[in-house]
Amino acid sequence: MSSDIRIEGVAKRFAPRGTDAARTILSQVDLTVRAGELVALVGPSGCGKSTLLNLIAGLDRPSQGRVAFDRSQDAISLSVVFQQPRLLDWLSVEENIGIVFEGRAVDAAERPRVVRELLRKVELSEHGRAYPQFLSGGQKQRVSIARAFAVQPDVLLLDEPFSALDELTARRLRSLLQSLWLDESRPRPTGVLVTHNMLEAAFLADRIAVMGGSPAGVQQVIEVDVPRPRHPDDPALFEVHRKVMEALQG
Amino acid sequence: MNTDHIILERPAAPPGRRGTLALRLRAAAARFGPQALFFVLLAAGWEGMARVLHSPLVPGTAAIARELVAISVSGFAFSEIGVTFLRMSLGFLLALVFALPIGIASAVSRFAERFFEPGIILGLTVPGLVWALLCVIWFGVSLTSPVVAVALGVLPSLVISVQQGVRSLDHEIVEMVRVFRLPGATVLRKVWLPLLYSFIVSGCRVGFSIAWKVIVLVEIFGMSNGVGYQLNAQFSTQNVEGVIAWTIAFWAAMIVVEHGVFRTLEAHANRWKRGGAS
Repeated sequence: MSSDIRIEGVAKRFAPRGTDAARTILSQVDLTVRAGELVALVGPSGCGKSTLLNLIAGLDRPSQGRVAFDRSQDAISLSVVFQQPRLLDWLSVEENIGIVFEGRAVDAAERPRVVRELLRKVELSEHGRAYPQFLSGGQKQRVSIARAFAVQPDVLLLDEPFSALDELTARRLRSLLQSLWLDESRPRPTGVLVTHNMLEAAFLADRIAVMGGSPAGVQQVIEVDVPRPRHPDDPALFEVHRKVMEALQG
Repeated sequence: MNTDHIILERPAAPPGRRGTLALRLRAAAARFGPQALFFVLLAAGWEGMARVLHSPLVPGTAAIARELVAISVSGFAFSEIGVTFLRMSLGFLLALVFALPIGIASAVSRFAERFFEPGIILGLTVPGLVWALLCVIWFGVSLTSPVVAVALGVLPSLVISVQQGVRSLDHEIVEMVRVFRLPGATVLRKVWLPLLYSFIVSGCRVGFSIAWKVIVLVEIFGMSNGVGYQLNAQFSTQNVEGVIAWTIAFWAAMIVVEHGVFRTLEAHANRWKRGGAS
């Protein structure tokens, strides 16, 4: 069951490597991502988007404030699609997806069916027994997306998931992600997407949080009022893109 | 071009049966030909030297072969090599029991790395002869001497292998494991052990050659059987062909271990680099 993500008064300080002086990266960040919503975080490089994502993922702790869910963090099923696929090279594609079932209450007999179904959805049915190094970059990232959806996450975090891919591949995978997101056969998670690509944010997100300043915070939140399923060449998305650019420059 | 659908395919299906046999023969010739040539030239060179020098210190290949056949046919070589291998294997297991925790600890903890560093350097620099002498002095003529000496001899290289294996784990994979909250047993079974597997196998290959040099010395100084003891016995009677025959017998056994055990384990550990899962 998806959950609100409440980021309340979050600040993050840390000392850059090789220095002793702590620097405040994020200050007084307040943002609520509603259950089932996908919010994109955009902003200039180094503004703390990925830091904020790490705080939501529990990979780091805020220096001040808190990140809260509807339930305790331990009770939240959380998945991440990283910039790099982060697959285990010595496990087959099927095993890389299936590994996330370990320690979770998923019926052992049901697991292979879920993996096969996801492989079909990400168009990798024929490559279930292949090892990752025999896949292209785009195929690896599709495995990573399938892995993220395998556990039916309550919260799905996407950390620049398509930025390492060529534009054509990235475009296909954005559409794939949209179709998985709109898939009615599984509960929709709450999503946070970090991206440098404003059109990607407009294509995928319900709202776009524009970050900036020093130390950084959320400066503006832009609604993406475009019905789904969206087409990447929809002129309405370019209008959203223009608004985001204005917010970033303004 | 859309690169998303590119997959590195395995080579196309080979031609018919006759063609396959010819290809296999050619591959075998390419694989083993240079090695066979080396041994033929070595034997020829040795035989030539024996004939020119005409000295009992340089026996001919026929005399060496006779000695080799004699110790092999009687089964004596096999029993003695078996004893030596048993000692080496026990020493190896003992070293592995210590190498795993020390290697993992010194890879993940700066304190542990600094703590164990002098010991590893000491272990790498101390000659096998010293371990052999000390163990014979401390433990006398018992199984403990060769086992402990081998363990001390191979421990540093095994620790380094484990250390390198642990350090090769990407921080990004550690984060992935944390995010998906994989249980400790799964992480051990599906992340750590497969990762360390190939490093331990290559560490064992290096360690085995070190172990051989240590075990021979222990058996010379403090044992009443084993390959080292037999080498010493042949040396004492000035039987040069005996010394060479025992060396060749053990070398052959090492090759069997290399191909039968280490290469098989290595191929298994690296199977994911070659193609689809079996």
